[in-house]
Amino acid sequence: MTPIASVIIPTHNRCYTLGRTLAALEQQTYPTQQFEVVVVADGCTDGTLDMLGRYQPPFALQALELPGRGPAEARNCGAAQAQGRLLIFLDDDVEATPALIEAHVQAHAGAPGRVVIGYLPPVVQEPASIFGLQLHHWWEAMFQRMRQPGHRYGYWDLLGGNLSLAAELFARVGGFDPTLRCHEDYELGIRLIAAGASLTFAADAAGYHHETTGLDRSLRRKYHEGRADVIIGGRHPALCPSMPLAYYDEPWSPTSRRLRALAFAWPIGGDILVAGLRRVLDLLEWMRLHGRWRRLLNVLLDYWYWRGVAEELGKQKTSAATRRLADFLHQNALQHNEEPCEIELDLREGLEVAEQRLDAARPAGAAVRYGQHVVGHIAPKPGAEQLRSTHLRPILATDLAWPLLKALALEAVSGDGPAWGIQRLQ
Amino acid sequence: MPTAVLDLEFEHLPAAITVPGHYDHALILVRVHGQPVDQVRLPVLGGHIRGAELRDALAERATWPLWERRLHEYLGWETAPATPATLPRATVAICTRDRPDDVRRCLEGIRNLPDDGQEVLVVDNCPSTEGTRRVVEDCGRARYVREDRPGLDIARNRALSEARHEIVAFVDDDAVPDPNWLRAHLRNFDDPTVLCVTGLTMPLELETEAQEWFERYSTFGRGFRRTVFDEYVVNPLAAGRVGAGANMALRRHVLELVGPFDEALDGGTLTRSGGDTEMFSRILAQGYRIVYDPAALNWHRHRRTWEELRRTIYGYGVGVYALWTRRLLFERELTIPKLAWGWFRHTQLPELARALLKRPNYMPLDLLLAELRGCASGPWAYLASRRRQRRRDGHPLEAPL
Repeated sequence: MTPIASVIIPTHNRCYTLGRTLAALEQQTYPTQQFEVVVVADGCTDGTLDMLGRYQPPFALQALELPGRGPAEARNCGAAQAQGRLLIFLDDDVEATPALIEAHVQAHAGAPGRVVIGYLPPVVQEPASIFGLQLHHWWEAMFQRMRQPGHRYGYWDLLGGNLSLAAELFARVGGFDPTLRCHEDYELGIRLIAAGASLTFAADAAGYHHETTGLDRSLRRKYHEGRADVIIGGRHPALCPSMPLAYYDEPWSPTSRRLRALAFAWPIGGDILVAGLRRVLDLLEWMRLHGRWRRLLNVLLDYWYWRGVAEELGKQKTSAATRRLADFLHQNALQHNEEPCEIELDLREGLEVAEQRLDAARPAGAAVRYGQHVVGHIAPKPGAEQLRSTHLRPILATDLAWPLLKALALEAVSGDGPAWGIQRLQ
Repeated sequence: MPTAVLDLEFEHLPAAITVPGHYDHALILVRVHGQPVDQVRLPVLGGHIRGAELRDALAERATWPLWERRLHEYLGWETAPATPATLPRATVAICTRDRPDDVRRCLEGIRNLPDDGQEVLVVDNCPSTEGTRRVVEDCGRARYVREDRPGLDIARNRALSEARHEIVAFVDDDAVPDPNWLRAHLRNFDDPTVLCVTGLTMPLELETEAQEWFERYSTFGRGFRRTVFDEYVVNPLAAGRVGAGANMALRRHVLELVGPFDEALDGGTLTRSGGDTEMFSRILAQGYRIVYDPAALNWHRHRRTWEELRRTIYGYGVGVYALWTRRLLFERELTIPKLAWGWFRHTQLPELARALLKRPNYMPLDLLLAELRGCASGPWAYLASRRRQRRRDGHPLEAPL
């Protein structure tokens, strides 16, 4: 019997956590015969394959091996061998709740072209450290944003750790980009959104994320993010404004400005200086100076990001590298000169009508008015999905609340608006 | 100069308001479709307030929550939408000590809440009579638990461990909840990082001068805007801003995630207050969130006599410094002295100067001095209370860091 869903788990030398991930999949509420698990052991030297060879799961299991190609290629390889119509990508440090597979499958029912992002409640290793707190907060804040009704998804919401989409859609957009070692999930998100896929969040497709990233690893990761952004920006020029690399000239502190310059001009000196500041972080934590600790951490993360950008742009020690950044951004801006599609909405025709028009046109932005009165502009957002009906009310209730109120009040005074409190007050 | 406390719906503002003759002012809570959006204070002439006067006052203030509420209605938009079916189950907990009459009124208020299957728990803290037990037995629906170790925080911990449901909503024995109180609390728990929700507390009555002063200077109300607090929004060491224990709901899980209430703090111990703020502070410091939602409304009967008021204000001074003492000595929070100096320099000292110079709206000097005396005795009160509590519970004494 062909399985309906294939769970694809790329792994690299994490035999222990992989065992926990597989054990959690044994407890699924979804029928065991209807899914398979594809484990891609990528450059594993810790006996992962032996463990898989001995393992006798209640579900169909494929174990594949790759010689250390990175998570993007490992996922592609797993997807190529998968039998299911639905691909569920799960990281090896994710411990699925029993409903995970069932929730993913249900989220796709009757909705082709959907991409489902599962909830990853973080389990942080050192929850008492400031870094642990910050990490926990960062993850939960991201999911809380997606939990809001009418959230406008962007490629930055696409997390590869607990993700499902139809095998056909995955193949159509070409899978993950194997040249990326970081942010490969974001890059896939860019192509999925461009292909018109709709992103959704499924809170009940939850898997505990045993987060082992420490402070130093997160600094190193920032360096790789800088490098990845240059590659992704080169490939998708229109999205440069949605990345930090477009804002070299807008550091948020003088220290950051100097360190950014150092990352380009004299990286060796910068590295030594930043290594010293890294020690200061420990001291600040001991002194419980949370605010200062956070500000310093941001300076360090910022440095490593720009260090990665500079590295990727051409390993030059002169200020020529910053010029390269300028050239890079300029060229990207030139390549991208198509006007985003925008429409005009008149709320006096009714909110439902405006919503229908958004669904019909799926524009990137919209000019909003209420009869004669201008309410405001929903700006196109590079990298975000096109506007849908569900986006309208949240935007009106927050970003455009004040101008909309004014417009409604003015309409009410002239007598055509809806029954509005103001008359009663006059 | 008693003030009448009124509760009006914006959609049905009356043409005229009549109040009993002895009131010379009125404090009016304004709601839009049941949701509190503003409060107005108006003079009363001969027992009447003209409707036009009220409308003028509202139009002049026209605060954001009022307009925002109307806008959200136009949009059919709720910031924290929830239906009873999706709300978590709750236990309503009253911690009380020797105030059977207050408990009776509070239980009557709780009976007016829509029945979503909530449990009602009365923790009777070190009672000297059987009065509270009898009131609870008469009421029928509530569960009675007796806790013999004195201390409000001890009673709160007992409530958290006795509760059968996931969320425990605390209401003071001298408060009465609004019918929508519990649901409003519960709808904010859809975010798993929210461990606590606080609500708006309005005065039940303003009959005496002491109650007026309490409302003016230590008001429980934190405004009419829903706010999500985390350690980025508010300094966890100054967590009093997020609300008060008279109106708060906690996830029972808080016991494992951030630990129990500090039993050396709050009413019934030497430290007199501070237990709620200390809990808020720990929740925020550990990276979790607290939501203040004015829709979670209850009505609190403030202390009637001046002597009680002075003792309460004194107790707040003790509580703040007791909690800071815990943070400084046992948790090495080195920023405490700076914080204490900031409070003295920017709030307490100017208030004192205004009182001495008799500037308009100055705070009575004896209350200010009571607060300062409280602050001065806070550290010793905390150390003594902690020692007493540890000895009683048989814990070894722990030296400060």
